[in-house]
Amino acid sequence: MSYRSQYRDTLDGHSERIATIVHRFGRLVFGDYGGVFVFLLSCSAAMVLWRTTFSINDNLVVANGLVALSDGHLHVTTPTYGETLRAPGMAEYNGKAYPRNFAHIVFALPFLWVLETIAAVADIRIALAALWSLSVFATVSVGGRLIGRHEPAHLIGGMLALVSFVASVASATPFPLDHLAYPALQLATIVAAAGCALVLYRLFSHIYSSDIGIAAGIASGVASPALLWATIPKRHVLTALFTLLTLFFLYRSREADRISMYRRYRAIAYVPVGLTAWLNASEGLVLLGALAITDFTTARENGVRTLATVAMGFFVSLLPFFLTNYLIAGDPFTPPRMLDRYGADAVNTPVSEDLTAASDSSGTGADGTITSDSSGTSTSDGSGTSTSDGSGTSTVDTILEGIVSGTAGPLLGTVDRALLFTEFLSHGLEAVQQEPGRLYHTFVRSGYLGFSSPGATGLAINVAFLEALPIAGALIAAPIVAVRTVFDKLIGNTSPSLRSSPLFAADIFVAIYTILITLLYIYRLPIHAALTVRYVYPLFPLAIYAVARLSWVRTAVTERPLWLGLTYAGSVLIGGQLVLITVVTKGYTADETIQGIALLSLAVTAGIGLWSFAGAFDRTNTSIGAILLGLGGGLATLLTCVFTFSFFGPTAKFVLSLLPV
Amino acid sequence: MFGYRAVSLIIVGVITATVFASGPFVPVDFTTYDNPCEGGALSSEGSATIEPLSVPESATFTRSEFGAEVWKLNVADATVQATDVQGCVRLTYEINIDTLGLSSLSTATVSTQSSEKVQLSIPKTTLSPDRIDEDQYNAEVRLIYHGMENGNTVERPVTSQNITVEVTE
Repeated sequence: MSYRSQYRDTLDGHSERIATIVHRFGRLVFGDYGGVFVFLLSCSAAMVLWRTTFSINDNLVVANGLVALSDGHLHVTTPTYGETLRAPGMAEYNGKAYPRNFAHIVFALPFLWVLETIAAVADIRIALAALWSLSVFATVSVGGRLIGRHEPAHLIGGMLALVSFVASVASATPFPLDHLAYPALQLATIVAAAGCALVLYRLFSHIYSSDIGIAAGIASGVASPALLWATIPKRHVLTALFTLLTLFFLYRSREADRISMYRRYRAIAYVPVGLTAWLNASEGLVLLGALAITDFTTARENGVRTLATVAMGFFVSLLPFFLTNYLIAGDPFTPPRMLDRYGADAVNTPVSEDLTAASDSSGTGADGTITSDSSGTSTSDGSGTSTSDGSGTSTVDTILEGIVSGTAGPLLGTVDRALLFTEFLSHGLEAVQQEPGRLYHTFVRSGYLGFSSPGATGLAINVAFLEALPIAGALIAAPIVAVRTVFDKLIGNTSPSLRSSPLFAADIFVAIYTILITLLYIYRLPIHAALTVRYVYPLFPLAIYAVARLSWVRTAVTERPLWLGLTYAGSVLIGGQLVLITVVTKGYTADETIQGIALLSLAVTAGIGLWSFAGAFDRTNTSIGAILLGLGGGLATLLTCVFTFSFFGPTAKFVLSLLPV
Repeated sequence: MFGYRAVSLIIVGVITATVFASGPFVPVDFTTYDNPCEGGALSSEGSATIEPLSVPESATFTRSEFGAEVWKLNVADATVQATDVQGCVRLTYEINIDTLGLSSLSTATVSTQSSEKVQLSIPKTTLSPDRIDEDQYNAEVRLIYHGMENGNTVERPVTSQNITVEVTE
């Protein structure tokens, strides 16, 4: 008896300690149950659309890169996925094939370990079905807690989980992939997409209220193209996550009372910059540009200690980037995208100029990315001086040597890269001035654009920004508010208060980032195989941020949450069935359905724009607003479903076997 | 409180137990997939008697809606009756428009498990807007049987006919 109670005591002690740790960790990451809900909902929803088939052919490169890294080396030796290593996006140095987007590959590595461990003791198909069912259970249970109906929700969630799991097991077929690197990459982007929703929740529940946070989080995780890109393992979702993290910490730094907190948050805001560079160097520069301009114009002080802390944060965040580049090309300033394309016949054929067709019928074309465009002229010479080509000495030694002795090299390299970057931006400006149509086709209306690239499907399967996110139509009134605010402050002569306002800093950051990333990519847009203008993908969550900053939108959300929720759910569930019936009876193809929904979205966008315009002049109607926003969100969700089931669906293999596709 | 714990424990327990049971240490296999035909859609190691029931006599090109622009080829489904099925045979259903250099086909596998009536449809086929400049095109629709006879692979048309494809705006 005493043994038993002793045993129980120890057990209780242990579980209590674990509970405390979990609780503390949960509070740090999720904030409260609202954050958990937003995160889990995004994950559960994204997993429904999870396919094991490849969507865009540079997925192969990154997946093979993850296989290589899990085997302990950076270069890819065998094409685990696909037939050949000569997939677009593969880089070559000294005859070896190197993948790109290393931040994504490294981020996905722990997910691969977890999946491999599970696969050792279970069938991965059943395990992933279990993961989804448990995620649904947790989502419903936490959701119930938020609306004060924990007990019934817990029971309903449990039943849902059990029923869906039994159905999954009953319909389970063998998992189609042998190596788990590809699903690991997808799981990583699912978590990153849910992370974007979570960061928006944390930001807005902190600034305004939990309601606004949840609405913004759901809009980002479920009612935006994030739902589509969560399971297409490309860099865009991660770029968005890093940008949002910078936004979050920038805000926190401006708001901190204590100088030490101010310094710390300010330095942390620079960490995502280096990580973004590790993902894609030019996107890292965009983030750096936006952050540095905002940070230094709105900083309350720029003392030596502060600057040293900030520089430290920035430098540390760049280490993985430098290290990877150094290990590959012997030069910390040359990312894989600036190397030659693997298997290219001519030297100096840039990595990602290639736009060959996807081999499978469902695939969209290849990835074309801006970094490499003029790399032919400036790749290896400008900065190659920083480190010796010492392959004999240890890596760390040579890097240290490079850093200490070769300060001129890195400096030259940085200047060189920065010049290249300004070149891109001026290209962008030119493109906007000479062909404003690009902006129109990128942000407003897509339609059929006869892309001549070999990778193009020849179908109108790309939509413009507003077609993919109708609620962004509310932003038409944003300039009015901005001008009015600045004007009021100038009249009141209170510019210092504006400067030190955390929200002002955050708004400036979002505005500058929007301009820079648009300029960076606009001269290549519109492009085939972009689906929902993925190059400017970070603008989706940032647009949701901007929409939530409009006071009349927040009023509509807080005063009419039921209208908003019901319209959203109705347009997804009922509207979804209507779309399905129409498509079946009229025989619409995927591209027609996509464009049809895009036109509907534009109509709703116009409605939201008008409503928002009225709101800017204090003539707001919260019911109409809630309905319009709900419709807009519903259409965004439906569009991602059409992409998944109608466009990719016919040749796709879904992870959840219970889907009747 | 007991209710929550019990519900959580039962559901998480059942799910986790099933997941472990699906693993290599327990001799149960949940992911069976009985496919009577080896080689999937490409298997043709059997024989059957195929009778065409309906084969379309016309087809159309229509312009895609909502600004999707491209021309869609609309061909009705073909239905055949399969009797005396042994093993697996493969059927292909194809349409060729020589003047456009266009060919589109689909395959179906017929086995003892499939129903007697087999429906075949042409996959979604589109042409870019500038490819069509006539009012109608001549096309050929074919149904082809792939099977084995006396140890040899046989490939013979079940039916083949010329049709016109009307272009309608």
